[in-house]
Amino acid sequence: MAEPPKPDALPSGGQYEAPKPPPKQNPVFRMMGLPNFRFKLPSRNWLIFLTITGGWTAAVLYDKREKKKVQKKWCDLVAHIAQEPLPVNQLRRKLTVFLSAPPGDGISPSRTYFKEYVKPVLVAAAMDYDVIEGRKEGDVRYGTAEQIRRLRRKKGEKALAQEKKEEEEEMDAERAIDMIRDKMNVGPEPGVRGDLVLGRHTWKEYIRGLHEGWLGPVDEPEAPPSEAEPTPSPIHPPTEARTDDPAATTENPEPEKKIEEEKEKKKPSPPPAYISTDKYSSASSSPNTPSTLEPSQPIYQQHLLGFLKTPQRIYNFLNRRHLADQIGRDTAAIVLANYRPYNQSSTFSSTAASEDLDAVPVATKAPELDASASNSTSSSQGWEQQSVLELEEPHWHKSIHKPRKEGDDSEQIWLNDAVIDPRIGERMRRFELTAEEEERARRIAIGAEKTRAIPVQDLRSEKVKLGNFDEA
Amino acid sequence: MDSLTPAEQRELNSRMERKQMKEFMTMYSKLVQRCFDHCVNDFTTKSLISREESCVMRCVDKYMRSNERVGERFQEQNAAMMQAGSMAGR
Repeated sequence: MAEPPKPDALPSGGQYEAPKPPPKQNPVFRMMGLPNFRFKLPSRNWLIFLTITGGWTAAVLYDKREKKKVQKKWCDLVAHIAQEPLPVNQLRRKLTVFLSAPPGDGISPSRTYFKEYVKPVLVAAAMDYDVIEGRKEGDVRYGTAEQIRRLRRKKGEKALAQEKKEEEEEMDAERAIDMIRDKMNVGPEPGVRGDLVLGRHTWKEYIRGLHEGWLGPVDEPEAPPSEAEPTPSPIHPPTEARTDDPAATTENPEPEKKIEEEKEKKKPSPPPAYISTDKYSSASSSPNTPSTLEPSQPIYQQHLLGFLKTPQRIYNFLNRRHLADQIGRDTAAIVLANYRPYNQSSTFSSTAASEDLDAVPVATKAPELDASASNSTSSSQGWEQQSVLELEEPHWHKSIHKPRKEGDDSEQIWLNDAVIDPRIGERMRRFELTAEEEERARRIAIGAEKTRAIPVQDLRSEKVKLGNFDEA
Repeated sequence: MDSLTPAEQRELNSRMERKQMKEFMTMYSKLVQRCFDHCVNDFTTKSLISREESCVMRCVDKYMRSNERVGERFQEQNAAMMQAGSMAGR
């Protein structure tokens, strides 16, 4: 069947009648000397396959690229700090990072989370940090409280019943380093340090540890948990620390005695709290309590477990850029030392912001009470610290809600509400990025502003110039 | 140190001095080497151009300061090690 010659240069694949005879070769192709191939779509099955893999790959790569961009934006915002000169006898500002194993999991997810989202910004600003890790429920609480108690002991609050001889002999590597630093006049650089807390579970433990450290006694309470009758000591034995939980008090005291005697052999680790939550208001706070505690930053930790949650996890995986943005913002706030007091639903707080902060030189202060008063619509508990990161709680693994083993009378910090003593609560501060820095970050993202860091030039990479222009 | 005779003491002192001198000269030559390598790359003229001049000044500064800082950390770690050693020996 002869076809009429086609006058224009449409590729022959566009014709519907084309398939039978070899179609008219596109004149362009013929001129270039290319063989006559037609563009065909692959088969239906191939199309399905390629759509799925291509779509998935595109989503993943897009998310990765955007995440890198977002992290770079926050890193650029703080990079200039890494280049500030530091006198030789000053140590770089040191953060304390609190990491804890999420409920139902080990500590590796927390560590990788920190390394992936938080650490880049800290590294870009050359911030030093110290990590307090926790594998079990009370570890971070114990670590925090112990650090505070060590600080108190250093400041001179002697333990009540200990002999002086024991303390002087306790000379470990840290003390040696501190002594040398004192001699050489090496000290931390002036400025506020900070606490970075990853996850609501860690946050609750942190709060508990703070209160225990500043409100509790410096030494271990005298009543050992192995005794059956509670000794008349000012501090309740730790087994009664669960008075928060009404169900516990209905237990028969008899099996409790036996179990306590059995447990006498192995010390409960982490050691139980030195003061229980219901004793907060009657305890006297340490005279060394600073007027403002180190500002803290709770950071959202995304952690989902469960087979049926896989679609949710896939969604999270394809949207990690938003998480990176949020965490980058929080970490940049720490690095730039923008902080504000926590809010309470009662209005008497926070006007003391400026007076407390003048002792501490900070980059910018952000007593944005008006702006943040609107989001302090905390729940029935009047403190912002109690409602922070609340969204994480429903995602915790169901295993922590299981009834506990008999004889396990360690304190339940995660499941109980956080109890805040006003003396500690009003001394806490929170890092939050000022509007100016946010604006600057937005401009860096779109390219309107460059990072304040000076690009480093390496002359070794430049070519060596040889020549003959000698003047003298 | 007290168990040495005066002659040995003198010998020890002179050796310590020589050693320190040598260390000092080594440090100096390393400094010169480093700053020259990093800063000078324009050989069209004999004298240092202004960029190289400022680079050399900064290089020496930084080198001495980083030396000092590393020395401090080293001292601290030394003390810590001695402490740990003495405690382990107990």
